[in-house]
Amino acid sequence: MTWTNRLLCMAACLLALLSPALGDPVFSLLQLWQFSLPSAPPSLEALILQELRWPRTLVAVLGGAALGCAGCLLQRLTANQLASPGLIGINQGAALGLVLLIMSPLPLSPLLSFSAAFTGALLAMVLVFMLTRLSFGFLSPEGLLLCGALLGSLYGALTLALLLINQHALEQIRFWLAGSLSYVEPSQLGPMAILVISGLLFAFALQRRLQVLELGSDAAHGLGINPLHALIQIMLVILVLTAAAVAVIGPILFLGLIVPHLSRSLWGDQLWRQLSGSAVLGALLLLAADSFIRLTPQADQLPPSVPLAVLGVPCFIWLIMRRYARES
Amino acid sequence: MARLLLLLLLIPLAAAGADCRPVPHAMGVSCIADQPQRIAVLDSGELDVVLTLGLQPVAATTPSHAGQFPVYLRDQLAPTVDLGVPQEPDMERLAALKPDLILGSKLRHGRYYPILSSIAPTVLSERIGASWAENLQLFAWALNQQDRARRWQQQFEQRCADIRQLAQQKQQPTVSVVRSMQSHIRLYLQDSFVGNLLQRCGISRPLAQQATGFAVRLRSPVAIKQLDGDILLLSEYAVERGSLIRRWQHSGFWSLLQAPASGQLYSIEDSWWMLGIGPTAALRILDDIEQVLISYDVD
Repeated sequence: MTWTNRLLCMAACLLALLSPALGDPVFSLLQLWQFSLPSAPPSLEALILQELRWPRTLVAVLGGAALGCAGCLLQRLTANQLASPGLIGINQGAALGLVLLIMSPLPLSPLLSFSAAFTGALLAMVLVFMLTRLSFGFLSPEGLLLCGALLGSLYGALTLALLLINQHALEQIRFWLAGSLSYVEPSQLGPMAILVISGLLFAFALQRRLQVLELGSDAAHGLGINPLHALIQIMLVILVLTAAAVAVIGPILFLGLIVPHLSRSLWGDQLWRQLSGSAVLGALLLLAADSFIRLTPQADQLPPSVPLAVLGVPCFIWLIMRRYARES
Repeated sequence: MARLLLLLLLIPLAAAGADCRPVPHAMGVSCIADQPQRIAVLDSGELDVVLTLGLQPVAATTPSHAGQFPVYLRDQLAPTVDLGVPQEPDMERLAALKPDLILGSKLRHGRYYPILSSIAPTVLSERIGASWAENLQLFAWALNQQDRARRWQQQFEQRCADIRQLAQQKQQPTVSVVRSMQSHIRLYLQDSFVGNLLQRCGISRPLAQQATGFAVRLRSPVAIKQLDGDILLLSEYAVERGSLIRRWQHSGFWSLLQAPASGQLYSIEDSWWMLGIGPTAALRILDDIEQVLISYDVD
C-alpha cells in the first residue's frame, strides 16, 4: 500500500464517521456520539442523526462505491475509457420503470419504487443483450456499448414523453432524476445494502475472469474459461451494482465515468488496485459532495451531482492535461 | 393620484359609443355588457365568486392535480366546459364558446391578456389568494352584482365576529394550517388566502406561521416543530398521488409534535381550504373553524 492509498482510505473512513455531524444543525463530536447511541432519549437531535444523517451517510458510501466499481468494471470490460454505466441504458431503464410505476394505479411505497427502478434497469439490460445478440450475431463488449447507448436514448425519449404527458409524475420524480440523497427511505436501505455488498463481493471474485477476458477470447478458451459466460457474469455484476445505487439515489452519471480514471492515475493499471480504488474513491467523493451540500442553504434541493461536476470536472481536466504533458 | 386621473380620463373614452359599463381592472379598463350572460372563469377563485353571486359560468378551469372542479362547488355548478389548467387555459375552446365576460388574475393570466381581450371583455384582478375580498368587489362590479356582494359581505362580517368571540372564549388557541403536497409541506402565512382569512377573523397562529409572505415550504422533517400549534389542521393535496406528511407520520419526528399527542390534529378538506380561494370557500372554512374551536377544551 502506498501512502496515498492509506491516506485516502483513512480520509474515507474519517469522513464517513464524521459526516453525520455536518449539516443544519452542525453537531459537536460529543453530541454526535451521544445522540447516535440507540439509548439516547428521543429528541430532535437524536432523530436527525438516527433517522436522517446516518442512513444518508450509509447510502452515500454504498452508492458511491457501487457506481465507482461498476464504472471501473465496465471500462475494463469494454477497453473503453469513455464507457460508464450511464451510457448503456441502465439509468434510463431505471427511470422508465419508476415513471411507469408512478403512472400506474399502484401505491407509491418506497419498497415498490425501489423494485420498479431495479426491474426497469434489469429489463432494459436484457433488451440490450437481446438486441446485441440479434444485430451482431454474438455478444461483444463493443456491441453491448453501442446497443446500450441506442436503447438508452430510446428509453430516455419514452420517459420524457411520459413525463410531459403526466405533469404530476414529473413533480414526483424531479429530485430523483437529478440524483438526490435528501430523503433516504429506511425501507430502501436494506435491499440496497444487500445488493451492493454482494455486487462488490462478486466484482472482486470475478477479477481473474475479467483479466483473462482482457487477454482475448482465444486466451480465455486456452485457460478454460468460457468468454461468453464471463462476459455475462461481469455485466450482471455491473447491472446489479448500478441498478441498486440508481434506484435509491438517482442517476449520478459523473461517478461511474470519472472515478475509474482517478483511481487508475493514482494507483495504476493493476485491476485489483483500480477496482478497490474506484470503490473507495466513489464512496469518498459522493460522501464529500453530499456533506458539502448539507452545509449550503439549499441543502434539501441541490443534487450532489452539481458540486461533483463543478469541482470534479476542473480537477479531471487538470489530470488529463498533466498526463498528456508527461507522455509527450 | 395621477393614475386615478388617468383612469377617469380613460373611462369615458372606453365607454364612448358602446352600450356597456366601463370596469377598471389590473390590466386597464374593459367595457362590459350590462348583464353578462356567458361568463368564463380562469381560476377557482373566480369560479367561487361567480357561484357565490348566484350566477353560472359557461366555462371554467380545473386545478392541475385535482383534474376536476372543486368538490365543494360541484352541487351548485351546472354543466360547465372544462378549459384545462388555470396556468394554461385552452384558448381555442374558450373562443369557440363566445363568452361575453372573462374573469381571471394578472398574476396568472396577465400574459394572455391581449388574446383574452380579443375573445371577450376581460377583467383581471391584480393577485389571487390573500386579495380574495377585494377580488370579490371587483368581480361583483364586473358582473353587476354589487348588491349581492354587499349582502354577502354583511353575512361574512357577522360570522367572522362570532368566530372571533369564540376564539377569545377559548383563550386564543394557536391554529396551525398545514398542507401536505407530494414532495413538500406548506405552511400558509399572512399573504395567502387562508392566512388572510384567519387573521381577519381573529384566529391566532403559531409563531412560525405569523410571518408575512405566502408560504413556508418544508422538505425535511428537521423543521417539523414549525407545524405545531394548540390545534393542527392538516390538508392533503391529491392524496392518491402521494402526500409527504404520511412519511413523516411514520417517522420518529412525528412524536415531537404536541397537537397530535393531545388529540388536536384535524383533517381538513383541501378543496375549500386550499383550492377554493373564494367567498363560499371562506364561509366553509369558518364553519370548520367553529366546529374545531367548540370542541377545544381550555385546560
